[in-house]
Amino acid sequence: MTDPIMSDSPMPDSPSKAKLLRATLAAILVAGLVLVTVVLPAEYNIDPLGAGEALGLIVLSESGTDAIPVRSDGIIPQSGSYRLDEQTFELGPGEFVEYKYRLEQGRAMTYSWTASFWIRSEMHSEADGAEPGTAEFFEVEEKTLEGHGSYVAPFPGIHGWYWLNEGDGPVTVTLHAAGFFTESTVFLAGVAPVERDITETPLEGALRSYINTGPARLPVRIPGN
Amino acid sequence: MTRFPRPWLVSSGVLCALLLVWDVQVLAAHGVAQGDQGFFLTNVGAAIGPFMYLGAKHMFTGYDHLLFLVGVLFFLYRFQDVVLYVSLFTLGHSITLLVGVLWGVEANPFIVDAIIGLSVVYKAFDNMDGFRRFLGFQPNTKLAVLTFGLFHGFGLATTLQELSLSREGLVTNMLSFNVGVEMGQVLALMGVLIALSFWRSRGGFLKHAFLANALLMMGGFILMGYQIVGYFVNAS
Repeated sequence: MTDPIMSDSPMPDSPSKAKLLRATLAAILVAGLVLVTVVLPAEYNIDPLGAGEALGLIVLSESGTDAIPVRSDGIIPQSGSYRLDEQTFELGPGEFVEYKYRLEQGRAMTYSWTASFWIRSEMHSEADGAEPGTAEFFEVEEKTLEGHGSYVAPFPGIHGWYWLNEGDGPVTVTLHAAGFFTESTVFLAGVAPVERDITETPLEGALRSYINTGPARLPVRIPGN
Repeated sequence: MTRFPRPWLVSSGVLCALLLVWDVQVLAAHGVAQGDQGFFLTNVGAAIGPFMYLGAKHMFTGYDHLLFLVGVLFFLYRFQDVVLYVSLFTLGHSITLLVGVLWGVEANPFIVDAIIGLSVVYKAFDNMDGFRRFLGFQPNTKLAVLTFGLFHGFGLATTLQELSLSREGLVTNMLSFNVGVEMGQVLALMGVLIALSFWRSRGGFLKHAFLANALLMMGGFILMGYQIVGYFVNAS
């Protein structure tokens, strides 16, 4: 053995400094390449060479879902205006309506809707800047009578429902929603989309009358009195 | 070359199967649909089974811990050496896991995970005989495994604390998690040892040892880069 240092390492022919340096540099280079072309685009949406885009990896980090801060106690903190909304749609046979709320990323709403007869329902969202006609579908039901839930917008855009009456008779859809939206958009066949502001909620009205008239009018029960 | 007694390998295989069955039962009992995070959010009080399972799962699915163990075991041929080094690693990570959670030490997970990546690089370079070549002496390998074990434990403590534990039943849950970590580690070790033994018995092991450790080192560098970039992304 020409090795000046007597080695009892199991590595046969203890490698030379040059070989070690070459291997280490190669390891760093390949690691860097993998990082820049695969790991960083997929994990952090950092794509300096455009390789992540070419490999179709960007989608993994692009979805804003994990950007929503859910605190460990389960609260999703909100800001902005809180609104209540209530809508009723009468749909004849073959008619449809689309009704969507504007929600910024991370804004939440709760909703509850019922239909007087079987109806097709598609809950979906259109992201801001998305190509027209492309949407993300969350819940598609061919035949249903109701839908209830809470929803946190995974990206800024309009979020709501498409209801289609595929039956022979008229159907009434009644929707209640509450959340951090300020406007909604209605889409009907043959009509341009109508945007409407949801400026004041019944809750705010109730609160105002409470402030004006004082608490005495509220039904307050004092125990033992 | 291999001196692992055959009954030991067979019994380890049986234990693997048993642990897997046990894991599946815990899973079924707790409903995976809700997710691990959901369980922790709602859990109050002692829950031995779930915490053991999550400890085992963290170790068994944590490729950073696994890569380090591959590096540590790479040139360990004797069963008693395996036990010695694994005990040192276990001692190291148990100390920091328990102390970290009990005292609420909050380390930055990106920095801890970058150091765990560094541990993989260190061990691979050590296996390549790099330290003796460049430093002229062999740094104490037992001390290195113990020290990096301490850092791996900080990673485990950070993982556990991120799950917002309730104070009620904390000690029981933490110990259960630690026991689970060791079970997962045993399970993973067996897989690594079986693969290494098989490779050694096929020949070509020593011929490819240098390349294998260079690849291991590359894996360590990828982990480091991933965590370091993550640190800056999250800081901004």
